[in-house]
Amino acid sequence: MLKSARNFLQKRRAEQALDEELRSCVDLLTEEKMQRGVGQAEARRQALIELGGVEQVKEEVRAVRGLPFLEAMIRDVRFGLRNLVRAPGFTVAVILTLGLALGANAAVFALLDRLVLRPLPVKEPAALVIVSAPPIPTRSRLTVMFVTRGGVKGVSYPLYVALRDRLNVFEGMLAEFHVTATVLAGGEPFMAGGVVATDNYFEALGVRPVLGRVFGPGEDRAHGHSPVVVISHGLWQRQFGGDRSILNKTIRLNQLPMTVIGVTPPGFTGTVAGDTSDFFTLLSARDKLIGSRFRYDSPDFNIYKLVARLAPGVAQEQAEHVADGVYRQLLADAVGDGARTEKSRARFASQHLTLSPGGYASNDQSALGRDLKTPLQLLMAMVSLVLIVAAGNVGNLFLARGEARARETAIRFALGSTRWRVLRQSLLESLMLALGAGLFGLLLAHWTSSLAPVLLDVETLPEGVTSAPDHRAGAVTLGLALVAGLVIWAASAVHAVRRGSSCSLIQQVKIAGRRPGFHWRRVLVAAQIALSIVLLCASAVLSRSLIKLMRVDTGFPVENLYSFSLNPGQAGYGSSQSGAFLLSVLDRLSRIPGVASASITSQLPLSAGGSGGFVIADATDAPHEVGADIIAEVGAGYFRSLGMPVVAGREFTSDDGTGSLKVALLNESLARLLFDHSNPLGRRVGFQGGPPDMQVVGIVKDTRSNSRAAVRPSLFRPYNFKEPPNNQAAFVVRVARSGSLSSDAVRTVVRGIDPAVAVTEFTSMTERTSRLLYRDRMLASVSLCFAALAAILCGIGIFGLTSFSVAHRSQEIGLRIALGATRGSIQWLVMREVSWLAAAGCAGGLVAFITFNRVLSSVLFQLTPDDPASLVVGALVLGGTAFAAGFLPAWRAARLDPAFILRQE
Amino acid sequence: MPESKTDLLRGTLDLLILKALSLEPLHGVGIARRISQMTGGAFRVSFGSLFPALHRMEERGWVSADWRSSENNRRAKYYRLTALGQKRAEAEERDWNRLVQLMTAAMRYADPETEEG
Repeated sequence: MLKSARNFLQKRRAEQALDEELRSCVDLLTEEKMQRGVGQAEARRQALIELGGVEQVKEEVRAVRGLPFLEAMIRDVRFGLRNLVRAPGFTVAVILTLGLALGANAAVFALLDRLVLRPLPVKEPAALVIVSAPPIPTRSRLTVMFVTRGGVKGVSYPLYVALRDRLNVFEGMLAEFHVTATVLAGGEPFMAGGVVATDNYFEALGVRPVLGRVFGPGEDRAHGHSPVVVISHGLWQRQFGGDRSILNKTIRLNQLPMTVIGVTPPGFTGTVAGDTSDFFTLLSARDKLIGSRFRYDSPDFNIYKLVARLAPGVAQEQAEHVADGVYRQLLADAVGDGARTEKSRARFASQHLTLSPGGYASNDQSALGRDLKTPLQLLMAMVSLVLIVAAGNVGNLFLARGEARARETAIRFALGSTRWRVLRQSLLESLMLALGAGLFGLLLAHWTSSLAPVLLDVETLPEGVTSAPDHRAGAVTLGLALVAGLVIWAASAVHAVRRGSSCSLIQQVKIAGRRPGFHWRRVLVAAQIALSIVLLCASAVLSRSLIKLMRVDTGFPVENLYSFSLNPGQAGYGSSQSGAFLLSVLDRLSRIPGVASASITSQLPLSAGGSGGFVIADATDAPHEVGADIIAEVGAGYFRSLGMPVVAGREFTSDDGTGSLKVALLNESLARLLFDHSNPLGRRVGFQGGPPDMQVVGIVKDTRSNSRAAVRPSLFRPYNFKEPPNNQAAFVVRVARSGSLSSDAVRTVVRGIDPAVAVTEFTSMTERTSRLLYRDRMLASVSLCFAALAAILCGIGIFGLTSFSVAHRSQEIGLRIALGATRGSIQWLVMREVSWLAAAGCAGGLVAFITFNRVLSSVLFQLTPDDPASLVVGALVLGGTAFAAGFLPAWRAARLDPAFILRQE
Repeated sequence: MPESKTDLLRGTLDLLILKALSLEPLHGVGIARRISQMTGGAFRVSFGSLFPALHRMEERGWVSADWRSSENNRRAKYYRLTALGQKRAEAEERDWNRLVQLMTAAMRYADPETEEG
């Protein structure tokens, strides 16, 4: 708009200047005549005659001056648009084909960008690193360790302080922990995720508030004040309508009153993509916020995530080396005090502090980003192949149209159009189509973004994670569209011009009736077949891997089993009240009609995370520690409810845990680690640092928490109703064979005891197991969609090429029929061409797939990417597609009427 | 006014304009007068070809123009030769001289033949 306005002004100025020049010219001439003694009026008349008419001269000058660049551009664009409108079938086909592929690219890129590529909205995200360090041993009996799915190990507060105070390779280092809490702010209470962090959190990240203030250095130690909280921009908008008077108001988190001091900038939701944080408060408030048997600064509470900002000029490796040195010193000091076995010394000797990049959405803390990084990258690669196949189709359409327009092009050359003009015009048309397709694709991606959670198989995506394209995805998509447009143009137009400019009009018109460029079109289609084969094989191997995963036995029957969670602590219950509450829930649950049994646990099976610790046995030689990945508290009848077999001994009864005798159950893996093959029943185990004081009363069968993962060594203790772990509990309910359990039934039961306690995570165990495979299901289903799309595009390409070939060989075919060729032999004539194409494409595609399929290895289960069955399936599907696409033109060719065809000649 | 209306060869006009401007900047009328003066009144340039030629040369950067007062205190658009135009003038002149030489030689060669025949 602005450009065209400027262009218009330029034109006006040039016109005015010309006007003025001619006027001064007339004046000069008039003066000249008057000096010779002619009267003024006559002199002026003669001057005008000599000039030859002002308007005529102007017209001549205008013709010479040429159009300004932009004006020429606008004229070409108009001409191009007219051309496209004149061929609506072509235009729609191109925009649909390319638009579909670009839309898929936009959606996958938007997800990949939000979960993996995008830097966090903080100051200089590239300088942020995540610090991970195994716990430093203490003499206490129970330690808590938090390990994210990305492998980042939680750090205790004392270790954090020690590292922070000793290291100068970092500009700042913060400790944080993600929590969820019930927020009460006037209206209905709701659950929100948040962060408890050290007071330098915002300073280290370089995040400034949009309203109020954030907490600053020293604030964590300022006791006696009411705790302060900073809320996210999203929460401020959603819950408080962006009301600025929110400052200094009090909201309640888990019943704890907190003063709102500020609002974070929009887009900032903490350091972890996928774990949306809506409130930010200080570490010292944690103990009041969440009841726990550990103080926040306990050395056994290894749960904090450490994020540090590298000092200017310090490389990550260098910082890691220095920080690891300090950590090893701290570790050596701690290991030194206390009798340790050789084995445990060796284990500590292998412990290291590590750093990993923290400034990007896919940092090692983000479970979702971590889980989906490889799958999304794979999908991005696949969807770009789909785009190439689509571009191949469009290129073919352009070539076919070039043939059809050969006459027009020839006439344009004959009329004196330059090669550059013709090329420019076709480039403009290609780019206009590509941009149109890009915009259409973005619209498609926008409309279908609500489908993303279905494809990803998560109920709701975290805030800010969607496949709807934003400005970044939009720019990338339009960029891709332009590149596609350029490539298509280069492949089709150059060919047309090379031919066009070297021939006379007569030759040109003749050639238009033959089939030049046909070879080039065949190469395009063969390439499409090859790429489609790659996609088909990839999706076949991913699907087979998924089928294998779904067949894995979890170790207990998941049918007719339900689970849900309660958190009485968040409704204000103290430990002892909680226990009574949970007991009465259990009691009423088992009285729901159809319920066979119900029990309670601190950790559900098949969950990814979990807390563990080190376990020792009463072995006669020096006790050695064994890492138990899971240490859970479970109620009476827990294993019976799950259907998890107790292979030796017994499971807990309601009497266990109440008397003075401490008891424990081990799973087979842990029992083997602690006691080798000797009978563990009756032996004693304990936690590291304490005496082995728990008697092993039973052994349960190994189960897999995740079909892909190894069995995790587990220790079970009786559920402690006097002091429920973390003041929360999960329930397992088994119903009779034919029955089912509704969430309403459970909610009614819980509401009957206390309506303030919310039932969360109600789900059937079948759903839980299948949800664990969401990543594999997404990969298989989305790649299948892409492969199908590519195969369809490829089929269209083959169909178009074969139809074209039949149309141009119609005279030859007619002659053959007239000379007695059978229909079968004519069909074979056409199909032979298709078969060659398919065979060449298949061979190329299979070679390409076998060369590059290593990238799939990491996501496959019990399958190599060379899986022969998948290769065969891929080749067969494409062979079938090629056959189907070639059959119709072949059938038509065989039914040509020779008399009609030959008469046309 | 007895004026011969020699039809200017294409390209000749450009050379004449460049030559006319090689001495001093001139306005449109000045250029027309200078050309007829240079050719002893043989060529009379029409403004219908002069102005288009000037604008084309301006677009190509051979001449540049600015407004100043004429000798009679009238404002007029004066054209001057640019460095590029200077080079162009030299090249065109060389070409022209070569053409004239070749043509002259050709005429001389052809003359005896016609006489003999």
